[in-house]
Amino acid sequence: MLEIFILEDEFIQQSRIETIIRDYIHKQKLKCRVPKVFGKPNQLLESITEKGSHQLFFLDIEIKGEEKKGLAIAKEIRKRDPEATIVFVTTHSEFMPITFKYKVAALDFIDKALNEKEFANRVVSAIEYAIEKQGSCIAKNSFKFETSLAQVQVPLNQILYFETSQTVHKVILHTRDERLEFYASISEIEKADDRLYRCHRSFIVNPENILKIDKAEKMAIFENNYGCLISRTKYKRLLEIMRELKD
Amino acid sequence: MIVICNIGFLFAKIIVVQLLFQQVSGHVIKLRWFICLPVLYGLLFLAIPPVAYFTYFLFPVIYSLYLNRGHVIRLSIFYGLYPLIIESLFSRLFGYYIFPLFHIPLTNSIGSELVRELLIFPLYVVIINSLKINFQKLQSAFERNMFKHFLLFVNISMVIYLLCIQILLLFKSLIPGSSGLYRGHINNVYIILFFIMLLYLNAASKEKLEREIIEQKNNQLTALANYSQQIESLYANIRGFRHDYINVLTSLQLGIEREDIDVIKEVYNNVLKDSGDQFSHSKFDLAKLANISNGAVKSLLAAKFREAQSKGINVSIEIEDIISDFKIEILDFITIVSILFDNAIEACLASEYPQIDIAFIKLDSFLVLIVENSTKQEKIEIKNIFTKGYSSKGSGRGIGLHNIMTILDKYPSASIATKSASHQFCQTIEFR
Repeated sequence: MLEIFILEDEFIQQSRIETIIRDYIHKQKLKCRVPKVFGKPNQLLESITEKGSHQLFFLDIEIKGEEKKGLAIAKEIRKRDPEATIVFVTTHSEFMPITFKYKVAALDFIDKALNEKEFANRVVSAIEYAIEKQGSCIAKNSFKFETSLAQVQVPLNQILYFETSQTVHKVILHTRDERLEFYASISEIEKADDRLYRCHRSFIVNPENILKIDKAEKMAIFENNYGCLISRTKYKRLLEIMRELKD
Repeated sequence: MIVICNIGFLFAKIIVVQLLFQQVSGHVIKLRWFICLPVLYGLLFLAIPPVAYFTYFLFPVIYSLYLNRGHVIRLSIFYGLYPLIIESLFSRLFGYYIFPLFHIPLTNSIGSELVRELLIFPLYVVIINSLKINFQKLQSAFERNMFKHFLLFVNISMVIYLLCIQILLLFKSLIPGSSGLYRGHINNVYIILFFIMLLYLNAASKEKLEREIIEQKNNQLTALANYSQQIESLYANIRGFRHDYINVLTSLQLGIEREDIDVIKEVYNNVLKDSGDQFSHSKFDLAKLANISNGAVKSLLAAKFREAQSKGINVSIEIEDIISDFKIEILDFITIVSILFDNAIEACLASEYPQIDIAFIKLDSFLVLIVENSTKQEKIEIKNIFTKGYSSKGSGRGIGLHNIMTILDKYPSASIATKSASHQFCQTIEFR
C-alpha cells in the first residue's frame, strides 16, 4: 500500500498539498494510507518504519529553525531506503535539479509558485509514478559494481553489453540510453554478476537484451543497431542461455 | 673473459636504449624489464643473429607506436628512434675520437666496448643537463601538436643517418679505403646537426608554451572583467527592485490603514505577483560562480555563460559547495569544461527550447561535473561519440570529445557517463 509523507513547516502550504493528495486518493479510490504531514524533520525521520518503493516523500528544502535542510534529510531517507521516491517541493531560488538528482536520485522539483492546476498536476504525476514503481525492487534487479576507483549501479534490464576500452584497464558499459566508461577489467565485471555472459575476449553481454544473433557474422545484435562479437568457443553456450531465457 | 665482456656489452647496450627511451618519452619502464629484456635479447642474438639485428632497430619504434596508439604517429616514431640514435652517436664518438685520444684501441680489446657503453648514459645526462634541455616541456609541447612538420624532418634525418651508418658497416669490405673514416665523418656531422635540432626544439617549445600561457592569462583577465561588469549590472537590477519594493510597501500600508481590500488586491496583482519571476531569471545564476575558488575556471565559466546567453540559451548553473580542489591538473580541467560547454552550446541551439544545465558537485572523495543540454533529436547516437573524427554533427568535427578521452587517459580513476534520452543529452564526469 502506498504511503505518502510530507515535510513542510508552513501551515498554508501543508494544507495545500495535503488537500490535493487527499482529493486524488478519494477520486481514484486508491489504496493508500492518509498522507502523514510533518513540520519538523526529526518527526518525519522517526516515523519512517518501513522501506521500499511504496514510500513517497514530498520534502520542502528550507525548513525554518532547523539545521538539517531538505537535502540532508533526503540523504538520510536514501540511506535507509534506496527504493523510495523523493520529490522536492520548494521555491525557485533553491532549485538545484541536477545536483539533487545526482545526490539523492530525486524524481522531481515542484515550484511552490506554480498556479494551482499545474501544481496539482505535478503532485499527481509523482503519485502515479510511485504507484507504477510499487513492488519493483531495484536492488535485486540491478547490476552493481563497486571498487575504490569506480562505483556503478544500473538496472539490469537496461544493460546491453560491456566492452574493453582503448584506454588500458577501463571498461565501457552500453545501456539503452547511456554509455559509461570506468576503471575496471573485463574479468572483474564477469565475476561481478553471473546473469551476464562473457561471449568474447573483450565483450560481456546481457543475454536478456539480445534481439537476435547474426549467425553468419557471429554477432549478437541489440537495439539501436548495437552489436558485439561472439567468439567461436562461446557461441553454443550463448545460444543455450538465450533459449533458457525464452522458456 | 671475452664472452663475459661481450655479453656485458650487449646487456649494457639494451639497458642504455631503455634508459634513453624512458627519458625521452616520459614513459616509465618497470624495473623487471631492465633485466628481462636484455636477457631475452641476448638469447635471441645467440639463436638467430639476423633477426636480433633487425629487432634492435624495429622493436623500440613498434613498442612506441603501440604505447601511443591513437596519438600522432610521427611522435611515436621519434620516441622510438631517439634512443637508438643517441646510443649510436655517442658510442661512435667514444670509439672514433675519445678512446683513441687516450690510446685505447678501437676494437678487439677486452672490455673497451663494455666501458664505452657504460659511459654513454652518464655523458649523455651531463650534456643534456648542461644544455638545459627540458624533456617535460618538450613532451607537453609535442602533445599539443606543435612541431608537426619539424618532427617529420627530424624523423627522416634520423632514418637516413641510421641507414648510412648501417650500410657502411655491412658493406665495409666492399668499400675501398677505411670505411670507419666515413662513418666517423657522418657521425660528426650528424651529432652536431642532431644537437642543433634538439636545442631548437627546446627553445621553441619553451617559447610557444610561454606564449600560450600569456594568451590564456589575457583571456582570463578579459573574462573576469566581463564577469564583474555583469555582477554590477545584476546588482543595479536588485537595487532598482528595492526602490520599487519600498514604494509598493507604502501603498500596501495605505491600503491596510484604510482597510480597503481592493487597493491591496490591486497592488498585489499588478506589482508583487510576478516580482518573484524577475529573480528567478537564469542570469542570476552567474552569482553562483562565487563558489568556484579558481580564477581561471571561474572566468572560463563566466565567458561561456555570457556567450550562451547572448545566443538565447537559458543557462542554469548549480554549485552548492565551495570548490577549490579540482582533482586533476587545472589546465586539463579547463580544457574539459570548455569542450563540454562548447558542444552543449552548439547542440542545444538547434533544439526547440535551448537549455544548458551545468552542475559542480562536491562529494566526500570526489568531484562531479555534469553538463546537460537540450537536443533537437529525441536521442543521439552515443556509441562512438568519443572516437576520433566521429561527430553526430558530421564528419571531422569529433575532435573535441576525443580530446577529453585523451586527457582522461591520464587519470584512470576518472569515469565518464554519457546519456541521451527524451531530448536531453548529458555528460557526467567523476574525478576522484
